[in-house]
Amino acid sequence: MSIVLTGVSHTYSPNSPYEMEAIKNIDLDITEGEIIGLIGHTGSGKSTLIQHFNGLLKPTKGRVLVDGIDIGKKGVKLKDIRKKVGLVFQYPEHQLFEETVYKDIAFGPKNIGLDQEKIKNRVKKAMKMVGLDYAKYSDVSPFTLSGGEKRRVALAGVLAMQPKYLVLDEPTAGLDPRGRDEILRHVTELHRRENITIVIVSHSMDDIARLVDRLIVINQGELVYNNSTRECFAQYEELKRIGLDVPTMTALMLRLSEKGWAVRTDILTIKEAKEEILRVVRGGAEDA
Amino acid sequence: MLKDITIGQYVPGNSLIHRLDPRTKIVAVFLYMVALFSSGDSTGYLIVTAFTISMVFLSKVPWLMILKGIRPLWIILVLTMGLHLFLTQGDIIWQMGFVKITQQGLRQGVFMTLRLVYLVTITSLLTLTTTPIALTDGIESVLKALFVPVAHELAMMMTIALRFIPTLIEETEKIMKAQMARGADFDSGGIVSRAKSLIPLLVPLFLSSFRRADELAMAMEARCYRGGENRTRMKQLQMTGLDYMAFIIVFALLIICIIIRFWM
Repeated sequence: MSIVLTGVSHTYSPNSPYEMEAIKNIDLDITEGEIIGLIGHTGSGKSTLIQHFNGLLKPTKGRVLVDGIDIGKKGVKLKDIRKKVGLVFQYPEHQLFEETVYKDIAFGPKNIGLDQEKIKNRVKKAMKMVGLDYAKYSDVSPFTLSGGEKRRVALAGVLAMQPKYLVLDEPTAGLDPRGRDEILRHVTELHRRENITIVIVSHSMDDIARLVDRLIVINQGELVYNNSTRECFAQYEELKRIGLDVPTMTALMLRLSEKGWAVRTDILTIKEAKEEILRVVRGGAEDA
Repeated sequence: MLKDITIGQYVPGNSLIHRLDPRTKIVAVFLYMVALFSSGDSTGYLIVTAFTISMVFLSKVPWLMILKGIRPLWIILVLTMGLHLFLTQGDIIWQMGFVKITQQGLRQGVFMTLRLVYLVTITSLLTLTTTPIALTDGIESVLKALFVPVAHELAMMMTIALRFIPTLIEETEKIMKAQMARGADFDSGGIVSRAKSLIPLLVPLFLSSFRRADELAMAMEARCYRGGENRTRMKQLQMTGLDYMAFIIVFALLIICIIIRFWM
């Protein structure tokens, strides 16, 4: 099963002076089990695009199929789509509203109409997935927590819907390094253990390089690349032109090769970089 | 849905109306209202209608924008029309059982509805052709001319309120979407469940408004804001020939309407 977009365009405020085509003719498919990165400059249409995945926005042109169901069709139960595709917005902690962490996470399952017992199980499970201790946190007001904890509560609120697909819009924005690492660790675990398909929007190329297998690059509403992470970052000149960057390690290798070292430049992580540098340095030493 | 709110929206342009001084426009709108409310017969309405239509033409604001501003009022308009149409006593022109339409009712209904439509048209034309900043500058100097004591503070409050309408709308949509992603339903159910469904929207909205207010106050103080005392402005409002022309035209409209009403 998968999310399939064919020729999707979205125009905001059509037929007005503010008319704006945010995304243009996008073809894309997200297969179950993948972990995908989505990058693009601010205002490139990322947020518009991801809102099509769960039917918050409907395409003005084209079709979106979620597990074979056309979200643009009349009479489609969008609640069912939203159960399948969890969407975590930027700064999700701003959506918290309940008196206790438990109640806030239970909001989603309650909306689906589950009974108390099932809700409780789901809340427990969701809290475990984001590493929040049930006994310690469930009766605390979410507004007393730290930024990172609040964000994990919000994430749990979406996970409690038990989505098959999880879309995260800049999940690490505004967090300190520890909060960031924690969120990313939980995301990886969700993918590995729960087998949730993940789409992650990020401005941090290092996070992207570390996490995802496939990378989608959009620029001014158009799909530029849709390829493996390594191949996408190999197009560093094109990426730079559209205002994006490459991971720190790729940048380092590029600088080294500019200075005349015969290193490979399709390096993504520190580990790979270390091995490659050692290989070249040792090889060079042998030659000399 | 929320994007359809046109209050405080501004359509950029460089038409004659756009170029008028905000003070001129504010005073002109008041004079226009007096003219509108003093006309009571077809000649008067004909003149006001012609004036209103030519103003919209001059402003080059798309008709669609004006219509969008009127659309939320449709219930009030239908009610006004209906009540006058069916409840006014007079010469019956159509009757079916106890439902009857009188000539006076028809006249009254049409006039009242037009009056409301024109009122909204002209006031939204004011905000559509004036930047919020210019508008509050204008309001401030009009208030000062009327010897209102805290004119600057009032105007500043209005500026900020206007400035934050789009932000709040955006924020509301964002939170709404976030809650909809968690299965919240804002559009169905009875009145009680609908009111209840607003809690997940309003709590975060209030919280973020307070946070914004705090931050804004801090930012203003950091830039030494201390109210209106001895405050000078970078852009001085300046009346031009165009403004005097506009005054002459609006005064003419007012006088004609009053003459038609009371002496003809």
